[in-house]
Amino acid sequence: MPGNGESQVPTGQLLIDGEFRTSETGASFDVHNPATGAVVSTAALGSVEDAKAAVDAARRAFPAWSEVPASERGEILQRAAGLVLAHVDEIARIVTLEEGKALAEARGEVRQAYATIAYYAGEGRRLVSNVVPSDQRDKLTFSLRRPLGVATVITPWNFPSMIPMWNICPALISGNTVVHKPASFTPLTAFRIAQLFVEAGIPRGVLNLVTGPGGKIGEALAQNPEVNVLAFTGETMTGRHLGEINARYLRRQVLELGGKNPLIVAADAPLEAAVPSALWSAFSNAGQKCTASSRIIVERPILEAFTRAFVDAARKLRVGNGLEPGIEVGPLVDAGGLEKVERYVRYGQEEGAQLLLGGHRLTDRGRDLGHFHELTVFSGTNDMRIAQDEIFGPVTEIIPADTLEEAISIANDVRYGLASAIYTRDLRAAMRAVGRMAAAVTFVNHGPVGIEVQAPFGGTKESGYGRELGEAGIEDYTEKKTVYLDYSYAKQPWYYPWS
Amino acid sequence: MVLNPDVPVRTSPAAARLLEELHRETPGICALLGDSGCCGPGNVFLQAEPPRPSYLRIGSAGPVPIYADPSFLRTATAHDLVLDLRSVPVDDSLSLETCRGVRLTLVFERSAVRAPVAP
Repeated sequence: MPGNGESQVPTGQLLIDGEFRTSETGASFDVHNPATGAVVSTAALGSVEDAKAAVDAARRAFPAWSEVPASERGEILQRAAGLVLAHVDEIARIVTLEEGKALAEARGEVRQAYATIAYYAGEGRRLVSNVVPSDQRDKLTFSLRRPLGVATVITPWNFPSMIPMWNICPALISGNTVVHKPASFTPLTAFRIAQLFVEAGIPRGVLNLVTGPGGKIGEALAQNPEVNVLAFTGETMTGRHLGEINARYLRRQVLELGGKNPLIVAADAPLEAAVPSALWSAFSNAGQKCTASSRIIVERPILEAFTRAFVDAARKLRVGNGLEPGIEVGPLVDAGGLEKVERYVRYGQEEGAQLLLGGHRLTDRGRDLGHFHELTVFSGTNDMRIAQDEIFGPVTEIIPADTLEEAISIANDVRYGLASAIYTRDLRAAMRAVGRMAAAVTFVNHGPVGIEVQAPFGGTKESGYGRELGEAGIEDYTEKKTVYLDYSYAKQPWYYPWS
Repeated sequence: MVLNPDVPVRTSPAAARLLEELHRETPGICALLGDSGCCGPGNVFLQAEPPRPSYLRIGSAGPVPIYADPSFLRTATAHDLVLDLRSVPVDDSLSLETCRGVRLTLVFERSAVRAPVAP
């Protein structure tokens, strides 16, 4: 494995038409450790020509790959899953080095990547379609799942091993070929996993990897008419821009664009479970999750007790370099993310929110070299900017509510609708919230974090379009072809001639 | 909750220069303000196409019109909007300026002259 800097950290290359190589210009870019600022390694700076070459390779590989029996495709994915599982520690370390999350959390993420590959490998023996009754005798009407062609998968940096698999694997098992454009903060994880797919026997051109800036590579991939389906997870306005391009091409799309996720803590909630769950969902991955519980809506009878317990527990979490033992929360991914958190902390204070914990950049014990911020808890209202915008950092706001109805109303009063959650001992209240919360996912007695691969995931409102995971993932990457099979060999009464 | 379409927009000198240059290259560009959502710090998106009809035009930066997502203007306080610029070696937004290694960033600055808007 080519290496650079840190031991066991690869130098990122492109994968085009089965070959790992540099970009056609030979250019590369540095990959930084957000905990230390150090250069971890470099990755190929792909060009527009590289993006086109990747799509061309995927187009050439599509006919043969689409005719491989799905179970055979599944066997390749199963081997890839096994290789990822065998390399969990190595990949997790790369994730921590380039993304920053605590190593234990990175291991959990990579295991979820494995689970996703394994789940869709199994789909190779299902890919269930349907048979419907025909109007005529001796006639069978059924549908076949057909792949779409070339899938472009553009993924973010916050879960660099898991989120790509959410789209790459259903695309591949359905018979599509793939061009993956990973986030530029985290190209090395994508590269290492691509190596394992090649080792597993993925044929040339079936999976391609292009790294480099979104403005060039992402735009070139989106504007390529040979792309049949585009999946994107990331910024809202970039997603909307891609959606407009996809509409021009009448192209299938999956967009996952963000959230401002409510966690309702009802008056009867068990604090001993709700507090640690709220902590995990607010602050894991330094809050850099579209499902983070960035709004915790608490019924007044329990407000004081919950707030005190939550702030006390948050104060004890250890923030630092994710590779160090005992660290629970890592840094922000880059200086821009840290600056954004600082801006929003200022907005919150200017808008009158009460700062209960944190609020500052961390600069002691070497943390000035990285992008660290204190875990930050506000108490405020839902009309504040900190409650309406996705901060994407370790900041959450506790919002009081007089009743469950008001809590649900507050939960829905935001542009996003991704994940939501409620803690209560009252199942009627829980199911009322499930029915009324305008989000595509609702957790009961669990924070809004912890997506499982076998169930659909996605967003309503401005959180996105389409669904990933489970059977929904297969729907994204297939179209149904209906077959009318007449085995009567009879002349039907309406055939000509009528006499 | 207050919808405030008359939010003052200012542009830092570096952002103004960049927008002038990009406008010379692509005369139809416009700047959209909205929430960045997942994984992005920007709050600004520069594109060559006109915005969707629901966007409100709230000002301009030289020749470049500035529009905002109405839901993004929900605010209970008085802030000025300032378009600034920062360097980004590699960025994944498809906002037009990122190809130059910079990113437009929106900063809310507390207005010295306006009183807070009552919620």
